Amino acid sequence: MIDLLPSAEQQQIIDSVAAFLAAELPLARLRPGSDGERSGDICISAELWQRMAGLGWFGLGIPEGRGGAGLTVVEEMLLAREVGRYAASPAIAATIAAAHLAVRGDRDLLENLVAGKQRVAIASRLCAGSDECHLLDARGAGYCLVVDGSEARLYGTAAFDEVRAVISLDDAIVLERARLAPRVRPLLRDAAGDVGHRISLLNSAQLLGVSEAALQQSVDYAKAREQFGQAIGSFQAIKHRCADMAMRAEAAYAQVFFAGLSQAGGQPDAAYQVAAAKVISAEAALANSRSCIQLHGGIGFTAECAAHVFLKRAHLLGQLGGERRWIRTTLLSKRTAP
Amino acid sequence: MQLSYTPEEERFREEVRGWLRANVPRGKRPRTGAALREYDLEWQRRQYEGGWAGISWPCEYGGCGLSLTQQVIWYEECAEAHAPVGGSTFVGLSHAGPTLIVRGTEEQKSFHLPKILKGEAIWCQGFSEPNAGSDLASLKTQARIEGDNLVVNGSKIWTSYAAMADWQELLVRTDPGAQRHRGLTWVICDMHAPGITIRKIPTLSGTGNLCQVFYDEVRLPLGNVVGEVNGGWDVSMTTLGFERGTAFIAHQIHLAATLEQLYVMAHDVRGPDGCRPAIEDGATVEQLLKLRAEVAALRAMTYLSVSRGARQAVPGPEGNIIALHYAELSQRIHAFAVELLGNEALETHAENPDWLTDYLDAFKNTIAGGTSEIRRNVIGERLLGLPRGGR
Repeated sequence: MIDLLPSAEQQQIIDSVAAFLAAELPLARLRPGSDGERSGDICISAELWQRMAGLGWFGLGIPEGRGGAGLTVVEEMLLAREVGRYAASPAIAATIAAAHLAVRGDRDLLENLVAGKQRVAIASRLCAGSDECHLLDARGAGYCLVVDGSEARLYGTAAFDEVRAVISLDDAIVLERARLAPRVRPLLRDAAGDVGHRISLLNSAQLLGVSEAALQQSVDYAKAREQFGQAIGSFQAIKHRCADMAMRAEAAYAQVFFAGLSQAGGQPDAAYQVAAAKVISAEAALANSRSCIQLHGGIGFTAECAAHVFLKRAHLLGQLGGERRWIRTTLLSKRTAP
Repeated sequence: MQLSYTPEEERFREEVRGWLRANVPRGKRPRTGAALREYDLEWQRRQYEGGWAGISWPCEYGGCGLSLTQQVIWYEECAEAHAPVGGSTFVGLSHAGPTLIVRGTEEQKSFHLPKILKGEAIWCQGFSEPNAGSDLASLKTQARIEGDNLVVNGSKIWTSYAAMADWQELLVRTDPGAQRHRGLTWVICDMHAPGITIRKIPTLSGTGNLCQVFYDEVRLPLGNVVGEVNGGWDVSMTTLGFERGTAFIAHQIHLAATLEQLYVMAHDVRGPDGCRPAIEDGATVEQLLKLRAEVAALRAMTYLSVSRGARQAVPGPEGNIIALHYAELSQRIHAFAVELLGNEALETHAENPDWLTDYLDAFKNTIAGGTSEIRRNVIGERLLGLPRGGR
């Protein structure tokens, strides 16, 4: 049975997550106020984080016997895709992935993560092998997840020193720069690829969400905006741009979930599919968000339009650290014909 | 969502694999002429005798009536076994036959369908005209009714395999006063009828079986009309609910195999610096890994199409996305091949003729069966709901 479309149960997860994000973290939260300034605190509050936990977000793929819902990485990805659409914190995906490290190593931590009492941020190496890291939304997080290709390590935030705030390109997150202290041992570690592939898939799913949100916003605008007495979407120059965006989003959707199913089913080429998903979804998110800006004309250049949010999130998620070298090696490896 | 095969499906795969191994024709497919016709028909006959003719056709019309997943398996195994795909039997099996099944009379069905399945007849398409390409509804080839006949005058173009075909699905204007898509008729044309002349059209790749067909007072019995006289547009737009484009899988797998050949080639040929192998050149590697990711995505997209096919009663406009993506990706991959060849690409010799021919041939992929521009219009309007506008 080949089925890359969500089941009724999966659709319920999508709808529930989307409804929550639309109500609690709408894109409008990122719009500047009348003074031109953005509201100060953009981190997800502890209260909101607990409500996400209450909806079961951090235990979707955790076995039922361990306090989770017993679903697969695919359901986690469906959630992450919606998170991408709303440019919500990448710490959500990091916490979901880290819970799988805790399943094997740390019962208390698992409980705290699933219950929303602890959160995990991504620490992304500036380049492969470097101790210099970017911490993404680490305020309020007790732990940081470092991913090097198939290998994932969880550190306490105390393992990072020289922490300093920097101005983030993507201003929907708090970005810090820090150094991973030398020779500090990770609290938990997985070298088998399960957690590394999982976080990569969750990033790809967020990038897919970005590419789809950029498409949707562009199409809505092309139907509403009129020039020369008609909706601009009736002009081929606009219509074809939208068709290209739809094509990229479709390719990203197919590859991202095909990779997720390959990972969930333990297919021998799962790593290859995961790497391809990252390349395709990153390209779709970047290209679609760029197109989205152009398609909006003047308003697209303003901070009042969400197009720039998509662009900046695409850059952020597309960059994630040591993963790039791994993707390269994986996609260039010898393989039998697919 | 799922991606797994049942034990029955795995057994089916074994059965298909075994049969193909024993029956796939050996020897290269001739490029053109009577030899090509005989090769394609012989392969079709063999599939018929083996019980594998018309894999998507309903059983009551002699087809296999395979499930979508079984069709996927069949085409995957065909690609694996290097079985010929498409070719001159394609129009009969994938378009004319299915159209007759849905819209033809009992006589038409009982006469034509077995011939298609048994490999006794080749069909071609007669839709496009010199002045009606993307704007198909403006076609002008006329047919007047005289007694029990339609008398056809005019010309059709871009007809593949016309010179070796027995029958044609022909769209003509029967009501000259009616506007555009009204007043057209879909009729079965005997390609051996008096008054038909065929001109072969040379192509930029030097291959292909493109033709222009001229009709001079060609008489076709009214009994050959499919659907109503003046109702031909409707017939040509018939949604073939059981024809879900799974044949596309074979093209996708073939393209993936092509890229893997290029992966090997990149280790063997010298890169742009003239010293190191191409695989050690940064720009080449970037292209290669991007193309590999895109080929992976194309495969996932075929699975997505199949997933939609299983849920929709009639195929939607989404098919245009994968067709467009395939067409453009195939061109990028063949252009990459030429780039890898470097100066060797400037001459045709024993080692590289297929690379050059395939590169040139791929230019048709964004034109035939709907240009990329038209496909983008369809995606914009029917899938995204954007308003129609000037063309």
